[in-house]
Formats: sequence, structure tokens, C-alpha cells
Amino acid sequence: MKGIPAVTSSNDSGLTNNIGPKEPTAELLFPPGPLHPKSGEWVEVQIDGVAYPAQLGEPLLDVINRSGTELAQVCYHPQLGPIQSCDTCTVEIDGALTRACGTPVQAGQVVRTQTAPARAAQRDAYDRLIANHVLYCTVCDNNNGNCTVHNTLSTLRLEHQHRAYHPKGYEKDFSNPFYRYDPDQCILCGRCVEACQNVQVNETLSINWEAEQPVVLWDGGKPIGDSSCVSCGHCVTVCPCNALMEKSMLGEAGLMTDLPLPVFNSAVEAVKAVEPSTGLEAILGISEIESQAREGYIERTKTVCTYCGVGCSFDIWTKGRHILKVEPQQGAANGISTCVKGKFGWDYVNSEDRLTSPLIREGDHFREASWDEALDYVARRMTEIKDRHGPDALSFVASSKCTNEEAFLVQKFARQVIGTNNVDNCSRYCQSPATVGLVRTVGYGGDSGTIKDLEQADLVIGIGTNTAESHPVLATRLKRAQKLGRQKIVVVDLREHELARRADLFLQPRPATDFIWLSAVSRYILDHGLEAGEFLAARVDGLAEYRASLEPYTLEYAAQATGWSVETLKNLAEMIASHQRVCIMWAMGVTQQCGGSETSTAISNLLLVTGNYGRPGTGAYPLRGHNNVQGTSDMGAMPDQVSGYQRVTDPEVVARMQAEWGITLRPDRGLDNTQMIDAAIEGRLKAMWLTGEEMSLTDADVNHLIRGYESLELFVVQDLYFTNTARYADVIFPATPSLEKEGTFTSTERRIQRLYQVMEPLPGCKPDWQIYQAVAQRMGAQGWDYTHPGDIMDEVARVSPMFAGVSYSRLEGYDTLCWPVAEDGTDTPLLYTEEFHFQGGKARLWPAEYVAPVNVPDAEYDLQLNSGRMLEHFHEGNMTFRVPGIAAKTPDAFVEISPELAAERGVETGSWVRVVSKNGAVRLRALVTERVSGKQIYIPMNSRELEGSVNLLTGQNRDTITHTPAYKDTAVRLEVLGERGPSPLPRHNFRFGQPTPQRGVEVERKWARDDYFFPDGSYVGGVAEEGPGVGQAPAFGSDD
Amino acid sequence: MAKAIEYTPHPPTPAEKLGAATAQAEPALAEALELLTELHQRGGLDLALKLLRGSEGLTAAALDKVTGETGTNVIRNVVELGKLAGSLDPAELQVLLGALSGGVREAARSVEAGERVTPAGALRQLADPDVQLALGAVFGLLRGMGAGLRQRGEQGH
Repeated sequence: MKGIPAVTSSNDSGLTNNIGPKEPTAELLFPPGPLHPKSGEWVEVQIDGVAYPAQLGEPLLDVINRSGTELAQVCYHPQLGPIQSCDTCTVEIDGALTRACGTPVQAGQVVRTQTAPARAAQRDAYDRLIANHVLYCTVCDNNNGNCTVHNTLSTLRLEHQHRAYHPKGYEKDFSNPFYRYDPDQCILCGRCVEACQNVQVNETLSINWEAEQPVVLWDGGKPIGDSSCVSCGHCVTVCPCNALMEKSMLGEAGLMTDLPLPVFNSAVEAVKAVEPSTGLEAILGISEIESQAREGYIERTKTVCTYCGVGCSFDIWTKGRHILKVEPQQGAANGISTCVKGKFGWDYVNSEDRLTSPLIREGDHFREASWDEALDYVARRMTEIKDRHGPDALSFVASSKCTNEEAFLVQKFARQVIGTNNVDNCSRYCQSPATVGLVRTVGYGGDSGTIKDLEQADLVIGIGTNTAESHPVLATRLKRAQKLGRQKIVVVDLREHELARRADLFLQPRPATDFIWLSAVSRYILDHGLEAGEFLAARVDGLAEYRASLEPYTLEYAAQATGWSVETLKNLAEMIASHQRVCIMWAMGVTQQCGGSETSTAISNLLLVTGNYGRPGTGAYPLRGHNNVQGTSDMGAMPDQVSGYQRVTDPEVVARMQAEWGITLRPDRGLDNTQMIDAAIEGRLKAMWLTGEEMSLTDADVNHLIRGYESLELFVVQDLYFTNTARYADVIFPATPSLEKEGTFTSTERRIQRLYQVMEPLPGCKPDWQIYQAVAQRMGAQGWDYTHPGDIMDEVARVSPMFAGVSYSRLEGYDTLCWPVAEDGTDTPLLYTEEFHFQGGKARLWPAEYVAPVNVPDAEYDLQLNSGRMLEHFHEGNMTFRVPGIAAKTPDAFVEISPELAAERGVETGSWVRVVSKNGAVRLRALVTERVSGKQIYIPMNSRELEGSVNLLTGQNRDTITHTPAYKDTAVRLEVLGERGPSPLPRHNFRFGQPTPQRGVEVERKWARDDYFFPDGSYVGGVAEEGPGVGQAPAFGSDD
Repeated sequence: MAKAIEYTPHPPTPAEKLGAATAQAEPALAEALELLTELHQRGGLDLALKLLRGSEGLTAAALDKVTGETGTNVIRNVVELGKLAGSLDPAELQVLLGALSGGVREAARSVEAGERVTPAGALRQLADPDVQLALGAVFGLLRGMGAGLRQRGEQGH
């Protein structure tokens, strides 16, 4: 990323001398992966006689690596930080042998990497590693050029192995659906433990250093499949050898890795027996040849994850259509990080359920048709309907899973080909209220910074967001910052999810009262002079009016409304005011309420009052759900805006679109998703073209929605599978998932990233953009001759000032751009550093109004229904239920009931219950858990069948401004059916596991073993007192 | 005005997939058939089938031999000899080997002629400049080997 970089560190020391780079590159400031704060102070060190600039305090090994000097290193990974368990990076520093990774840079250090004792130490350390690991590289699935153990052998040119290999005496563990652990190949480097403890912070892995034979343990010794492991994939990604491998790689990656076991064993024995004569290098040479041969059939393609809004990017390795593995390394948002869906959730692409032919409804069945026939039919019918009923009888729903280019085409089709503004996307169901709140106060409706800012904050407040399950990789950065002592986390939510459990402060308000406590806190801060006076005076308008609007919001009122004490509110206010860098992140708990827009406004007001905008480590973060819901709105798939948030009422915009498209934009707001359903029922809307959205499970009040579907004369559904929605279609177009096309996605960080085509579209399917183009051409439209998605993005850049500099050439490989992007390509990771996005450049405090919920529990419907996502599934689960490993762990929906409510009603885990609202009913099994409390229940939105869908219960209540359904504002009653089945969540689901939190690898426990000694013998383990410098606890105990 | 109706997507059957693939690969298949016909006529197909069926046994047997002590020794010795061949300087080797051929000729002639050398005759031979040259070479070989053996001993192998 280019543009204005945020500062390097919290002490803002800047560059103090002329040693370091004048203009530090983005790579130096924020290399991929979790934040490792740097001092920003540059000094000089000498490496093998040459001087190099280095940052004070950074690991010396980083400087050595930057200098291009080849040095062995096995357990070190720049994104994990120093682990110090392998000793292979031993060098001479100022005359003494010590580890390069564990030595922080100091000015004037003299480093020699190739002295005879250093070389001997490096080789001895490596020899100890391969006593744990058989080098059968030629027949190993990990022999792909990126195996650290293999490559280190090359670096060291070790001739012979001195210590004999010994197996550890543990069986291979295949119990997890996605990966396996082979203890007999494990070198006990601890990278996996470090990643799990301090990057993913799931804290499942550890090594039992005190045991006779240490090994990696899950939950202290359970089978992986029964542990708290969330299958995020970090451990497998960072493993430097084949001890942890994706199951999809086993037997598939190599030429000869699929040998029957007896043959394999004999082959390995033969090679080992011959090694004393040939030496290791000759054997290595043969394996290099085999590794190169693999390049003939293994493709590595960069893509961006199709699931959530974090925007992880990685390489996908494929052999034909078989997905070998997902290899995350240098994605801007994620580095080595992924979650179970991004790392292991791609089976859906090859599912047998994929549609492979267009379908046309004929009476009571669907007939397979050719593309020509189906496209002609749709073009003809749309023209007929438009001629007979006018353009507003048609509507279009763009998919937030499709690319920016495709979303742009949907709204171009609606506006240019048909002449209507009836176009929308699923942000309507989710963050539209947040957009309103931010556009009112600061000007842009998106996250005001990036994940790097969230990492640099010293206080992060999460309101109504289940971050660890909905934005897993983003949550890992927060959990890490908190664990390493850099950050406090406050969670305000109804339900005690993972981040709530970890929070420094967890507050549970009464439902729909966030607006009240936010306003009361803002008022307290203003009343007590704790506001950011200078910031407000210089950069913000509207203080007087805003202050007046806060009149009713006393702490007492807020206490009464939320159920908290006045003391709690006071402390919260003072906590927010006293921290330097505060970020507030929020999600559906805030927005899916009648007052979603108003509450979002209140959040932004609070940030303005405390001066938390425009500086690194501060800002507003409405977390976007889908991989491209940000982009779909950016591209104008909205009823009142074209691309770049340009209003259809703006004369300049109308003129621009006239020039480009040859039509006049209409100024009247079109129908949004929820209004389209109403209009269909009323007969005003005749046709709808819906892409990639399972509306019948994700929209509220499903019964009402189905009536809308049934009322349409022409319903065109474009999707991968025959979904529940597709059952109502007149024409179905089979489209392609992200792996089968090119384009760009824009994540919650406003980060635009390119995805490349990993495999050809499944025969019979077409990329979405080609389908839109084909119909447009048949309808005689002009300007629809794109040959490649890059052409579409060029048009976007022409007509949208905020994307003026976006082009595929600037997005090659892993390059990214955070909008707005100036014409010269300068992007904006951090917004509002100079001015807010209004005329005059000042932000606006907006006097918002409280909107009460409408479905407060009453006598008949006495329980409050909450709903949301689960980690393993994405939304309703159309894709993730088609990943067998995920479906096995989390087979279906359920209803979470608190222990107290369960006791009262006579319900146990597994009991069948009916949950009834005034809109509908569902039948599910109960899960009794402390995650919910009192009379609040929770149903996840993923469901295999319509009958279990929580949206049968939600209703027509909506956010007042955006019409976002108020899903969270639903009252229900519970009927106990009397039957009982097994637990709806299998016992082996990770939620039942028992993680083992610790500081990291805790390598000092390895050093204390009596069979440990530092390679040159200067330190011997098993001694009671502290050893010399080299044996002390890691210098990077807290990483900074 | 459409009620929900059902549809089950069916992935292409093996027959359909095969049909499509065959049509696409017609030229290659035609040639492949020619090759197979030739092989069949010469008994090559039959042999290949038998080898394949016996392959596991063959491989197992082969690997057995290879991993057995004799097999391992043979491979190792070949490798050692190979290393020796690699470490010798061809130019130097040529000097000796070239001279050796002359020596072999002379030795054969001597055996043919039934010549015998007495101890006294041996001493007289030592005065022959040609013999002295050869002895110089032999002693050089002894010195070199001895130095190598001594060094190996010093390194504590």
C-alpha cells in the first residue's frame, strides 16, 4: 500500500538520525502479519564486515535477512517473532556465540555469521533437529520448494547426519477432518505452538517439555478432533516440515508420494542405508529434481477469500480441479493467518450439487436449456415487461459475494439498459445503518482506518459484534495485542461469546439500549471537561446543538435503561476519555435494530467528542460481513447512488453518466431489497434478477418474502446451486464462484484486491459478468463489449472520482489499494488525517434520536430472540454445508437456552422445542449454555433446511432510515415438545474443548531439560540457577 | 406467479464424461490405437500386462535385494568407487595408465619367454633407469597413501 503511512510506533519518535531510510516503505513499516511494533530509531550494525542500517530493538536476524546474507534458521518466522528453540541461527555477536533471532539490535554490534565455531554450532543444532525427522524428501508431500527443514539442509551443506534418527513413539493423529499431525516427523520447533498461542490466540497447542519425550499436544493431550482446535490452519501453514500437513496434500502433491506403505518404507530404508556413502547432498539433489517436476502439474494462484469481510488473501495450490492447499503468506490483511473457512472451506467449488446448465421453468418442472435459449428468453421477457409496465416493474439484486466489476454491471444494467434505480445488495440487511451514521458525521461510510490501526489502539470497544467468530483473523490481532499487554478490550453485547469472555470489561445491556448509554457517556465526557477540546474546536462543527440534544441522557437514565450501575457508566466514560487511541468496532447487534442508523451516529459522535479520528490507532470500524459487501455498495448497487457514492440527484453525476452511458439518470430513489418484496406482493414489481443471495433464508420474515417471490412474473435467479430461492425461479443461470473468474473484492478495510482465476469455469457455467453482458447485448445496449474485468474497472475509474486511480496494473499480485485512490495511484489507508469528507473539511456532530425497539417481550411472546453467525459456517451455510469437514463439526441449527431458563422450562440439551413468533415458527433442538443468559435465546442463521431458519421468526420491523430489518428486535415464545434427541452440537465441536493458555512456546522450559545444551557447550540445561546470557528467558517475552 | 418446484442437478455420468472426452481427443486416440495394435502384434502388450501384474512382487523383490546387506554394500561400493573416479585427476591418471600399458606388454613378453629373475639379478635390475623411474612412481604412491592414512588417523575417524 502506498500513500500516507501511519507512524511506526506509539511513542511517535520519528527518524532521529540520518541512518535509516528517509521514506520507510510500507513493507518496513507494516510487513504482512501481526504487528511487531518497531522503535523507529535507526542505528548501524556490522554484518560480516559490512555496515547495515537496523532498527533499535528489532531481532538481529531480521537485519541479517534483509542484508541478503544466507543464514540457516528453522524455528524463526518473521511473522511469529523469535522462538529460540532450534539454535540453527547461531552466529558470533561481539565475540560471543549466540542466537541471531533472540538478540535485539543495539548500535554498533559486530556480527560474524561464518566463523568456524558459528558454523559448527549451526550444523550441530540442525543435526539435533534431524534426529527427530527422517529426510525422505523425494517421497514427501511437502517437497515443494518451500520446506524450511529441506532448504536449511541446502544452506548448511551438511554432509552426514551424526545423531541417529529416533521415532517418538506416538501415533499419527488423523482425527481432525482437515489436517494430520505426524509426531515422528516433528522437530519440536514450536512454531505451531507460538502461532496458536500468540497469533490465532486460540491457545490449544503446547509442548510438554518436562516429559521424557516431548511432543505437540492439543488441549494438553486430547485427539485433535476432540480438542478446542478451531481448524484455523495457522499451525499447518507455519510448520517448517511435513509434521503438520493438510490432508488434501497427502498422497497428491508428489510424483511418488502415494506409494503403498511397505514399498515406501523399503525405499526410505534403502536411501538411509546408502547415505553414509553418498552423503546427504546427493540425496537432496535427487529430491530437488522431483520437486521441480511437480511444477509441471501444480498451479499456484493468488486469490482473495470469498467468505468474510476481513479480506484475507493467499495462494491456492491446485492440481487440475483438485485443491491441494491454501498457502497464506503475504496478504496485506492476514499474512499467514486464516480461519477454518479460508484455509479449508473450498470443497463447495467441486460439489456435485453445482448447477451445470441454465434451467427454464416449464409447468411443474425445470427444463435444461442451452445458454442461447435461456439468455434470449430473459432478454425477450424483460423487454416485454419493460414495454408493458415500465422500467420500475423490474428490479435487480447484486451479490455481495461477486466481484466489484460484476456489481458495477448489475447497476449499469438496471440504469442504462432498463432505466430504473431499483437495484440493491445485501448490505441492506447489515451495515447500511452504519453507513448512514458515518456519512452524517464524517463523510465516508466505511472503516476509517485499517486492521493496523485496530492493532495500534490502546482501547478497542466492540459493540454488538461477535468478532472472534465473524471476523476471525481480525479478532486474532486484537486478542494478540491484549495478550501481549498493548491493548484493553471492552465488549458490549447480550451474549457471552469468545471476545466477551476475554474482554477486560464485558457489559451486557438490555437489548436495544446502546444508543442510550453511548449518549450518556458522551454527555458525561462533555459535562466533565474530558472531551478533546482542541480537536473539536479545530475540526468539528455542531457542538452546541449536539450538546443540547444530550440533555435527557443522564447517567441515571442510562443506568435504568441498560440495567447497569451509575458507577459502571461513569467508569466506562472515564476509561474512554483517558485512553490515547480508541477504536470502536460494531456489527449487527447495533445495526439490525430499529434505531441502527441512530445508534451508529451516536458511536461516531462519541469518537468525535473524544478526538478519535484521523490518527493511527483510532476510528470507527463497522465490520463488513461479506468478502465484497463493501465493494458492492462502492460500485453503486444501491437505489439512490451510482458508483463511488455519487448521488443520482447530483447534476454533475448525471452529466458524467450521460457522457459515458448515453442515458439520463433518474433522480428518484429506487426500491431497496425489502421494498422490492413489498412491491412484488402489491403487484407493482413484475420482475427481479437476483444474483448470489439466498434471500429466502437471510431476509427477515421469510413467510412474507415467499409471497413476494410467488407474485413475480419473471424471477431470474443466478447462483451456484439449486437453492431454496431457486425453487421459485422462472429462469436459473449457473454462475461461477470466485476461484473460476477474475476480478476484485473490496474488504472492510476499504482495501481493493485482485483475485486471479484458479481454475476454468465448470463446464456449463459462466462468470457472472459475462452473463450480464450477454443479456445486455441481446437487448441492444451500447458499451457492453468488455473482454476482461480489467476493462470494467477502467470504466469504474473513469466515472467515479474516488476510484480514479484504480487499475489492474496497480493491483498486480499482492498489491492493494485502500480507497479513495487519487488519479496518480495514491491510496488512503487512514482517513481524515487532514480533513473530513465535507465541504469545508470539518466533521459534523449530529443530534441523533433514540428509536425504541418494537418487539419487546410481553406476556405472550416472553423471550428475546437473538441471532447471528457461527465461526464454521458462513451466513446461511449454502457454501459451508457443502464442505464435509465443516458439516460434520456443525451439522445444523439449534437454539441456545440459558441454564436458568432451561431449568425453569424443563429443557435439556437435545430437547426438541418449537420457537414461535407472530410471524412464524421453527422446530429445533436446544443447546443449554451459559453463552446466553436469562430470557434471551439465540439461534444461529445457518440452517440446512428452511424449516430451521431463524428468519421464519423475524418480522417487518426495520431501521427507520435504511429499512434494514431489525432482526435482533424479535420476541418469541418457547414450546417444549417433549422429545429429546442427541445434542445438536456434537461433543467433538471445538466449543466443548479445554484450551491450555500459556505465554507461548515457553522455550526456557526446554533449556531447563538436562539433555539440553547450547551448541558450543557454553550453557547446559538441568541447572537450578539462571544460566549465562544465552540461557535466559527470551528477550522478546512480550514480543516488543 | 410461481410456486416452488424442485430440481435435482445431476453431475455428468461417467458415460457422458467419457463421450465428451473421446470426441475431443479423437486424433490422439486414433494414433494411440495404432500404437496399441503394433504392440499387441509384437506381444508387447502381453509382456507389459504381465510385468504390471507382477510389479509389486518385482518391486518388493528388487527393494529387498537393494536393502539387504549385499545390495546395500554393492550400491555403497559403487558409490565409493564412483567417488574415487571423481577425485582422481584425469591427466595424472593418464600418465600412469599410459605407462602401465607399456609395462603390461613387457610383463607378458617376459612370462611368454619364461624369464626368471634371481635375487642377484633383481639387484642388477635396480640399476636400470627405466626400473628406477617406475620405482619412483610406486614409492610416490606409497608415500601418498601413507600420508592419507596418517591424516585420517590424526582426525580420529
